[in-house]
Amino acid sequence: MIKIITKEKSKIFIIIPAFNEAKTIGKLLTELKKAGYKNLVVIDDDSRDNTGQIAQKLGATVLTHIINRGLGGALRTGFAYAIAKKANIIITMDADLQHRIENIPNLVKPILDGKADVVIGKRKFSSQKMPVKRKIANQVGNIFTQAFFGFRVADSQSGFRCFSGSALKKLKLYSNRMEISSEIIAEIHRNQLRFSEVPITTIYTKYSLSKGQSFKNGIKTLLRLIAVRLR
Amino acid sequence: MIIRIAVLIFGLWVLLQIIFKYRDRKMSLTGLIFWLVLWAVIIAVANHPQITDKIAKLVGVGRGTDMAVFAAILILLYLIFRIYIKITEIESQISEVVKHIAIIKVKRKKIGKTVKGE
Repeated sequence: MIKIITKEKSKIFIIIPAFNEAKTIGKLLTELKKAGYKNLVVIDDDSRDNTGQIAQKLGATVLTHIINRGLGGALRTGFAYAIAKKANIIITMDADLQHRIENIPNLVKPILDGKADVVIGKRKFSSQKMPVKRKIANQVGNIFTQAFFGFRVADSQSGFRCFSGSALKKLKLYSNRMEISSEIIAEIHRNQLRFSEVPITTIYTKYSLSKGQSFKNGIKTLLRLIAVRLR
Repeated sequence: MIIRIAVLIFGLWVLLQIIFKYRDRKMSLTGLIFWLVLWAVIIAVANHPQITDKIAKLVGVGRGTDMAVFAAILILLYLIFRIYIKITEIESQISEVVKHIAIIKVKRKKIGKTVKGE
């Protein structure tokens, strides 16, 4: 297992977009703190529950959206904050506990070693635990990302990513919702950033599945992706 | 006959709306010209449908009315597309504003904490 030392952990900014995640955000932040990560940034995307208050109590920096802007909007806010704070390493992860903290060092290592500018955690699509609907949706996401942006990746829709500060500054992102994942891939390609994918383990709970994209949302994402491509 | 009068009245009302919007600076000059020409054509065609037959013959579409419907659908599709792109752009701009507010708020909170700490 790869380990990263405390000094390096203090350089890492963890960005967590959150919309109505009061059930899980507390556990996630507590575990992250326990693991030694200090720069925790939660973007409260106009939640109706007390996601923001819980995160605040646990010592995270909470960036509050006054209007719900979606995943893309929340990530863009987090990125802007991390850049303003001159962060060296920036991680994005979901608030619904589907990503494992133990995987963070695997994502960070290629960047610390100077071998990559961006690392994306790829999920195991062969895993029995991933629902069939989800597998299909992810593959469709990959196919369209390749068709529109000409870049083939194993998991274009993964929310577990790691960027170097200098790479993040180069990304020009405009998407507001789920299509941000494909836009990030397109920007990595456009900027010719060194890119690596590392395997991650994901935990699918009833809760995290309820948070994912529905078929209708998937279609909407696709339409927005076309708009992104036409911009 | 009634349809001609109805289109004429409605068309004139729209033309007035367009001029008012331009006067109140809610529309650009390009917008003004585009909409004025479009509605002038609609009024003209409604009152003299034979115009469309001549144009239809010229471009090689069977009947004038067919051509008018075809052109109308094309224009509508194009306008929907423009609106869709514009909305996406506006959505992105709203996000920019929301982002700035969120960051400014955090900065203020942190300054407040430092002042209290001192």
